Amino acid sequence: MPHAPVDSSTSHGQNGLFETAHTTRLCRAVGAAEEDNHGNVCREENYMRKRFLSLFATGAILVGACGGAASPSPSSTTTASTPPASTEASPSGGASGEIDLTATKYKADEVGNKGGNLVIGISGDPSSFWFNTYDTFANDCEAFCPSMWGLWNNTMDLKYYGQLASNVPTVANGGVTVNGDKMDVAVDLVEGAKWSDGQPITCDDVIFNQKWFMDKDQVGLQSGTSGYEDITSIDGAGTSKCVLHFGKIYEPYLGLFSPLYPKHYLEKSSVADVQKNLYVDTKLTDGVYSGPYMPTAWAHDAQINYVPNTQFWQTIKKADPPFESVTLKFYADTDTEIAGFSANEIDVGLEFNQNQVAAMESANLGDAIDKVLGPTYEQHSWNYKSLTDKFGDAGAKALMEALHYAVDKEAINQTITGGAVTPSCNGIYPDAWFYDGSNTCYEHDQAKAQSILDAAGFKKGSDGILELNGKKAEFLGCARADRQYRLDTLNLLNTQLQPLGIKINVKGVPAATVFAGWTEIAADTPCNTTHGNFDVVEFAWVGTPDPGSNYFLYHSKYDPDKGDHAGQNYIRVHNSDVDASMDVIKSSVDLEKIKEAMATFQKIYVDPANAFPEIALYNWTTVMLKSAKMHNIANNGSASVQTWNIEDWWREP
Amino acid sequence: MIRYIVRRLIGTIPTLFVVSLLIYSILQLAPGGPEQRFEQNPKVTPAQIAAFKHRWGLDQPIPVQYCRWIGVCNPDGEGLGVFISNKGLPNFLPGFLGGGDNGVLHGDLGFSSSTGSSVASLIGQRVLPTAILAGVSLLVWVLLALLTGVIAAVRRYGKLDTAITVFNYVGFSFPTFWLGLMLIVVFAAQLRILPASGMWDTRTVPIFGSAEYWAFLGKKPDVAIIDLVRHLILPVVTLVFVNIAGDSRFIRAAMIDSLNQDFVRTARAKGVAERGVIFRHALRNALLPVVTNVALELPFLFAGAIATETIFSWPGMGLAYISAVRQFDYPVLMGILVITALVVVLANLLADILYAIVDPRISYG
Repeated sequence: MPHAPVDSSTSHGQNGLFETAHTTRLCRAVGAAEEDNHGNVCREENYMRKRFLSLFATGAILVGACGGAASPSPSSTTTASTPPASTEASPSGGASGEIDLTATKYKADEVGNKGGNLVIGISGDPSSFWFNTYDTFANDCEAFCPSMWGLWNNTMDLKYYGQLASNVPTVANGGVTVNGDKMDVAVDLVEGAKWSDGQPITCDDVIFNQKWFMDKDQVGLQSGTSGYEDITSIDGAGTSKCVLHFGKIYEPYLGLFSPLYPKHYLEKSSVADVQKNLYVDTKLTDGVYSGPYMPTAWAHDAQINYVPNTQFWQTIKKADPPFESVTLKFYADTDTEIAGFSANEIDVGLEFNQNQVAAMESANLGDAIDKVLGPTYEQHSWNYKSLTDKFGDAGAKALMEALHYAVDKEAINQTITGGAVTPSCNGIYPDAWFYDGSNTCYEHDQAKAQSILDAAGFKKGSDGILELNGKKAEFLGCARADRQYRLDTLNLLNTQLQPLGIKINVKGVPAATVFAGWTEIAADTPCNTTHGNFDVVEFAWVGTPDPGSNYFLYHSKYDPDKGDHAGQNYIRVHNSDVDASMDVIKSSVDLEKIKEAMATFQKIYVDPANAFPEIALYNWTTVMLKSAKMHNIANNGSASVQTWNIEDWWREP
Repeated sequence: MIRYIVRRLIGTIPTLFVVSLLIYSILQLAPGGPEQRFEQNPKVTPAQIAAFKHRWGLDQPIPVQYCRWIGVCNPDGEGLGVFISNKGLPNFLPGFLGGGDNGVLHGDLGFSSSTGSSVASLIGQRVLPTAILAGVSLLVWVLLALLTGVIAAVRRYGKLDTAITVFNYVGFSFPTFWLGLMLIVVFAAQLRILPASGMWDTRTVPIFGSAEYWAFLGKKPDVAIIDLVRHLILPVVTLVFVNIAGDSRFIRAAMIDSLNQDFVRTARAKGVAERGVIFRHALRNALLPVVTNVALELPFLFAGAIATETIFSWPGMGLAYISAVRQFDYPVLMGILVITALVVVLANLLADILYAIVDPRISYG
């Protein structure tokens, strides 16, 4: 699986960076939900993962269309608010036609009890109501996605279902029509659906949203205008059948209008001042909503209260709400959240990862732990340019190859995570359809590393450090200062490499330093990845369902030293085979070709002989705590925020 | 005295000006900024980031930004016109005299760059929780410090003095975050007798400060107060335990000094009861330096005892400050820091006034 791009629905997505300069904000840009489990920082990634699904799904759907191989799924047209229950999960991989993005394993149990107050715990206060608009902080979506629905959403197993739309338009089911380089998308809104104030949800809202996003007074849109700017017109005013006319092919169209805002409410404010005037934290009851639970009060850093949105339950879900009220309770960190769960303060605890499992188990919460493999992977990015500058091409290649064998990932797993993860050699998420399972991970082999270095001419100096061409194998290892486990990992790496004569000088720096943009920081700031002032840096990438997101990480033209310096090829890898694979992935809509290209890329990535300067360490685990009395909670590692199906949640008496 | 207070209050203006200028400059010069939220986000174009910076005035030189923030400059003005309000008069004048309506001078702390909320309302929500936590902590801590300090001084070099000294140093040695977490683990997670965090019980009590809360307090004062006290116990214990040492040792030293003075010997010689000697004569004199200490501790507590509020999710100023730092939310940070600076200045003034009350020899006339 590729890395979670910052942009889920843009045509030029990038990778989700776990690590961001601005503790929260850079993370927000990249979306990193799991990071928050370590310190309130990058909670938005969950949200971004959700968004990235859009890119994947739509891309695949279009591929199906172009390839003509996708067959209509029985669940491709779904009932809004009810994710389609498929009989079988679609196979991962295979030909385009075998990939069905709408069939899901998810099936909600019938609600067995109603009433009471549901309390959900989460670490970290959301920043604003405007998720995926002026903000992309994952907690914002955890908090407000249950209040404000979009046209479509993803299930926990990376499938699509309609929210305010009753269909998931694809080429296969006739919902998408491609005409040359243009396309039309037919959207059927849920018949009779109403906003919380009783106003009907119609195509007028869709039309308004598109114009609103494109308004010249819009400032600070985190979601950008990608996709909206490609819509030339929308038909269906006043009805529930809308047709979006795109002036060009826009693959991630299923990521648009998420959320969909009510026209009649947004019209109450000028676009420029909308954040100050609408959905204001102190006047949330004035807001107009579409989701199952709508907020009534927000005490920052404490809680948000919700009540059922009567209109949703009557006109969209057509059922009674399982809870009389919902509360989202905020904790300062995961430790206190675990303590709060132990003390029965909450029914469900969100946003944990492998680093909290030991604490949960020591608190005797074993039965409440729900964990799944996540797409986020911890890795060491080596700066290939700094290696070649020091040791030349051959020396750098040998060193990088040796490093792959020299890193003892299992020792890192045992020492740093307490054995809570599974070491990995491939950054691609194993559940992704383009994951190549045929690769065998290389084994840790110190002797082989030694022989490679010897063969390349590296010799130990009087201080015991390797030298080549008069340059020492002494490197700057960087991580955020507030991520102690990363500093510990780098120190452990230093210990592992010392017998070979390689030394890592570990440096912790402020989060803002690591990923500050080209013009945002002095060019010689140590540990800044954009300027390449590091030898090795540890952080985590969020894998996304979009293979194209790898393009911005590994294609040589996205070396940050080049162009507008916005590329994310921090490792400065310049490999013509990788470039060729990435070009195919980016330019093709044929799933088979993409899968093939991704297989080529993965072979390069996992074979130490190719000296790929990124070393995957392990995939993160997405963890939540849930009371045994809770039902229909479907944890997910990658698809959506953990409250994605909150309308189905219920609790035994 | 009144003339002195007025003089001191007037003196706070340049102090606050310099402090705010320094804080503003440091914040601006630090790496990062509100626009960093867009870093690594390919959805946002450089033009959109530029528009964002322009909207928030971040594209202006720091002096201009500060000038706008403080309210001397008009954000709508250009060139020398920045000093003129939209009504054509100097912008720094009060609005009703034709001045502007932006900036601190006009009571406008601006809007949060991350949420769009009014900074004043955001800070307003946080003041009472912090005041409650700080007030209770300060009360308990000063009383305990007085008690232990006096006892240690009276029984100096005895076993009780040693025990108090050990207690003080142990408390002083504990990092706040560690002690807080340990208390949570023991009393909330293991024993389950106290809440893990927060200020009220989410399941039974309405949001503190809301209309529902005050109605609830009116209807069930016992439940509301007991709930609040239960939530206060762990953070207050944390703050008191960690901070009592300084004041306790300070009082002990001042008391020992005082007990060795001639007037104490005279009091004893005159047959004054020992309790009277200690509390009426020695302690009153010993309090003088203590007043300074306590007054200087006030702003620290007002700023929210940041670590304690964060650990216990106490929704006060400290937690707001941390959130603002994480989000590079300059308007909120400036609001909190300048108010804290104001409290520091006022606390110093209070200390001076208390001097005069505690020690009749001091006069500001």
